[in-house]
Amino acid sequence: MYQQNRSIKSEDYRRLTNILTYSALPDLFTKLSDEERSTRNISKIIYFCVPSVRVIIHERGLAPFKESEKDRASIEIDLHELDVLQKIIKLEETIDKSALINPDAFKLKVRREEERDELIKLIKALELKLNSVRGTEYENLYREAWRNANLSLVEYWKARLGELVKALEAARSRGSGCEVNDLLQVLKTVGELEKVYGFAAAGRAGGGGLKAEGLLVIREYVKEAHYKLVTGGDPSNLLEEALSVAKALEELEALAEKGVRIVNLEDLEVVGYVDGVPIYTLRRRDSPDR
Amino acid sequence: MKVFIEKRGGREIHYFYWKTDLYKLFDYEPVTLLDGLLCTRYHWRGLVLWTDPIVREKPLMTFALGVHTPLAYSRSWLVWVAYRLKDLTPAEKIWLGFYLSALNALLQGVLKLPREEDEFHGYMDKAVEGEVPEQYRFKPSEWAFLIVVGPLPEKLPREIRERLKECSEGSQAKLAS
Repeated sequence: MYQQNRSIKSEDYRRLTNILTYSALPDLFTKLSDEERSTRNISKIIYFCVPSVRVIIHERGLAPFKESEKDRASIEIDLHELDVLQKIIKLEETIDKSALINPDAFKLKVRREEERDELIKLIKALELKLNSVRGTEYENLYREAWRNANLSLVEYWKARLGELVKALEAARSRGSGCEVNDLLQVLKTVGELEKVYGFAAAGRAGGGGLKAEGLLVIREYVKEAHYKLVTGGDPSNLLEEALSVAKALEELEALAEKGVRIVNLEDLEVVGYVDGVPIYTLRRRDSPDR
Repeated sequence: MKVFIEKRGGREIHYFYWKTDLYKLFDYEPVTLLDGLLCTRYHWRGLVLWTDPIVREKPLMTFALGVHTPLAYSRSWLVWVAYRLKDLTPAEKIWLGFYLSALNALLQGVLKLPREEDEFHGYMDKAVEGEVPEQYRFKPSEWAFLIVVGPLPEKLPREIRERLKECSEGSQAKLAS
């Protein structure tokens, strides 16, 4: 299924991880335990590192780098979204890990500006390559998964949504003791849910309705929770918000099963204006006077 | 559950407060009258006016289990909504959509409120003295969307009109720029 991804050279990938770990945040990287480093769990390290670049950008005004405003903007765009990270993590699954890491690679080195530029270039290249397979093999993988499980689309959605609620409950109950991997698991499930109805594509086109909107909101809360976690804060409140939305999605599914029309704001009709503000109403057929 | 009763500027607001319930850590659900119309708040950012509630000395209300969303017993279930889609955050959109879907379920008779004669009871035995933290206070002129359940009144309460005007002016300013 991921055959096409293998075209990315493992050497490039190794360089990418090195650049991330060396140039972006040596101070935060050193916070990883020896055990974490020795497991050579690349996805965990990158996951830890990339949002931390964002931390540096926001908190120190890009102190680690000397560059123009234009470059600063490009770093934010490239690294702010965990999407890129998710793709890198997916990439990891496709590459023979034994070829990737040299134990010496974890020694801190001096940062060089060329490395940062190379990082940007690499991420863009990775993104382009992964986008090219996104709409075909990548999404087919999920379709195949629920077909193999002999589930209908709705059942698959409900099962994954149930997993998401459980993952969020577990992460929230741990509060500040929650781990990066807990949040990674949540994001992974959100990503899988987005594939069920092709929400990723629909979201980019501004559609997808309440379900897509809900997943987007959950993703944002979890990203913020991660930011809090790596900066030493307590992500509980943000995880609780994410959990509320996930439970609301479950409720919506239950209502839909009972035959209730789920109201998408885009579908409401303007029936008049008050002080220039549009007034909408639920359609009459849905609103019998009682 | 406790009820904080706050009297300010000639208005009495009853805050129904849960310290913890199911997965929620705490909740303040204000209920008050605006120019004689029953008013509640929905998920911090929505204002709900109930224009045709069933009244037995006081309007009859219940709260959704666990999430505490206030629901009045209403004679009419017409639903009107005012918002500017472009001004809503993604979180506000999902909560508004969820609320409207739940109201739709009530309108369709799929969801039913508890039978009033069985379930209704007063709450003044839960009333306590206490301050509601500033950030959780009810502010009738600060909302992202307005929902009216029941007939649309000829004249909306002053604070709501002011907020609508603000929305309208904000939108025109955006257009002009």
